[in-house]
Amino acid sequence: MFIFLKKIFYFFYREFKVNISGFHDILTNITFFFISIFIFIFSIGPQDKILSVMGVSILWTLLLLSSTLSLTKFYRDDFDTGNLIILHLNGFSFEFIAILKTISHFIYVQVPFIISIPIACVLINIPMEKVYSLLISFAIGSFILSCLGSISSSMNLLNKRNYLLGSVIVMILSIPVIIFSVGIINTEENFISLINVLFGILLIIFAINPWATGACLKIALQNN
Amino acid sequence: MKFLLNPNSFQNITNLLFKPILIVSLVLLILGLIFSFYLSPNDYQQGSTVRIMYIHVPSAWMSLMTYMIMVIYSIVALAFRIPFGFIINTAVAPIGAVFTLICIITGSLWGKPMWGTWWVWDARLTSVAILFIIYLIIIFINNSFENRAVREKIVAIFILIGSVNLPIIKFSVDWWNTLHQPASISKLSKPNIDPSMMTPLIIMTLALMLVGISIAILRINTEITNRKNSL
Amino acid sequence: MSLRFQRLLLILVSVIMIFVAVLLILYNGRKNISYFYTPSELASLKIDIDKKVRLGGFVEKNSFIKITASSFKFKISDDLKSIDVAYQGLLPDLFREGQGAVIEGYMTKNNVLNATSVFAKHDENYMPASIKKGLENTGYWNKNY
Repeated sequence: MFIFLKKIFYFFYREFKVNISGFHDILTNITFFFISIFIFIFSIGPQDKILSVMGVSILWTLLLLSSTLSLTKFYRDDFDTGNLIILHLNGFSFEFIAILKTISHFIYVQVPFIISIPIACVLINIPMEKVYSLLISFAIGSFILSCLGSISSSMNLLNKRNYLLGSVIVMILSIPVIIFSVGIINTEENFISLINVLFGILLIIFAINPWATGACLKIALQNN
Repeated sequence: MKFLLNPNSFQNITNLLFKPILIVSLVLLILGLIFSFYLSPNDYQQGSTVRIMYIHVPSAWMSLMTYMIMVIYSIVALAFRIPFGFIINTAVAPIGAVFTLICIITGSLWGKPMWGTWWVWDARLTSVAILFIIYLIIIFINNSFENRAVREKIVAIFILIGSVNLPIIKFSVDWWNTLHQPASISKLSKPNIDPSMMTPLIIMTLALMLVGISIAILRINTEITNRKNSL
Repeated sequence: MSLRFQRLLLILVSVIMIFVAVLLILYNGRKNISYFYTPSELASLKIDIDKKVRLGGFVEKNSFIKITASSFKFKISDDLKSIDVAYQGLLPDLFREGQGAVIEGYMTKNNVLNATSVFAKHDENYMPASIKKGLENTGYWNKNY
């Protein structure tokens, strides 16, 4: 049991080192996010009122886009270097690898987005009272996006023709997430119950994720 | 019942059954169209727009049923390693997509005069639109992998994930306030449709089901032959 | 931890998670994805004046007033409360007194809903026109919608 915990610790330590050495990738994601905000600001023009009404929806759309566009890297590196097989030989089942990778993706890709949300809110004039609920909704929603990303990127490991397919899969599955998380920000009375619904969706997808991802990883490794 | 799991006996049986099914389905289709356009009465509120229902409702049922069949065959294929399930998944997905598209188009044709709008984003309509896109993605996955053994398994997994949408479609009108009306026909209660309007609905449902089955037989047989040739 | 034990643990955990999640969603989700509010819900909520709302219910009997050819006034009710609606534009075919409708619009200060669009809602009953006439003639027609 203790050895197993130690292995998990080493997994996260390695992920930390890999992500620090590839820090530019994460920075590119964030830059993409901010540049698309700039583009939105300039394409709407100087009407501040429209921007602050639409702001939350714009932020959510851009967050979804910028976290799905980087999904190809989710399992790709580990798959190409054979790290997945090594993890499996070290006593992790594929399902467990999926959970660990999802958590590490949440920490190293989505948390930087969460940190950069307040700055983005200042840029597009979202009132400061809404930032709090935006942060909560994005903290839950981005974990769901990580789970969906894990599923879709493991599906597309051997897909060498259609690169957009992964993003399409994530986006169609994330529609309920968008509905509820934008609802959270725009409501006052139903705040708690909407958060509960979003949390319920998170639990369902988090429960499905290891099984779907594990099966896809196994298929990809067997047929490579 | 072996022919539902074994490609060879499926081909043998469907070679016999295909022509009768096709003829019966065409006869039923013509009969159903005559019934729904000439022999059925106008509705007391919708007038003759009610006739759109005779194609809308059966195609909606068929789109759900096609997905159910795909779900069952995905489970069978993945759990018991029966490759015939994958053949059915590949062959049947476009049929389901077409039925969903028919359902959406006729629905919005009905909605414009009755509701006063082509499309609203209530729970039922949104979930059916998502079903259509799921069908499209299944077709895309089928066409974007080089390795067939990989793609058919991944399609099956995606079908299982997407099946979360089915109960949402079915119960969306009961759980939430929607613009779409609740189901008229359910097992527990007496149908809210008059018998004179029920007949064309049942005939059209049978007709569309048989048309779908005969197209499916053609596509499945083509798929089986393709796979045999590529071996 | 052996692979088999990991699997067993995961199966257990995911079944519990799905169970909890279904409970959470069923318990909380019912009132949130509604396409429209009913009149009594709308009356109990405090709605901002310039916020778009959707209201659904039955058009109250004897409340429909045609002011000009394209501007109307009517009440939407759910047998408990009723809300005044003013509308300018085209009405759909199915719109009539006693029939369901969904109204999209803004609340004004004197509690009148200023509608921007009106959708007629159809119920799940289908019946030939001739039978309805027969029922009305014999006095069996007592559907109250």
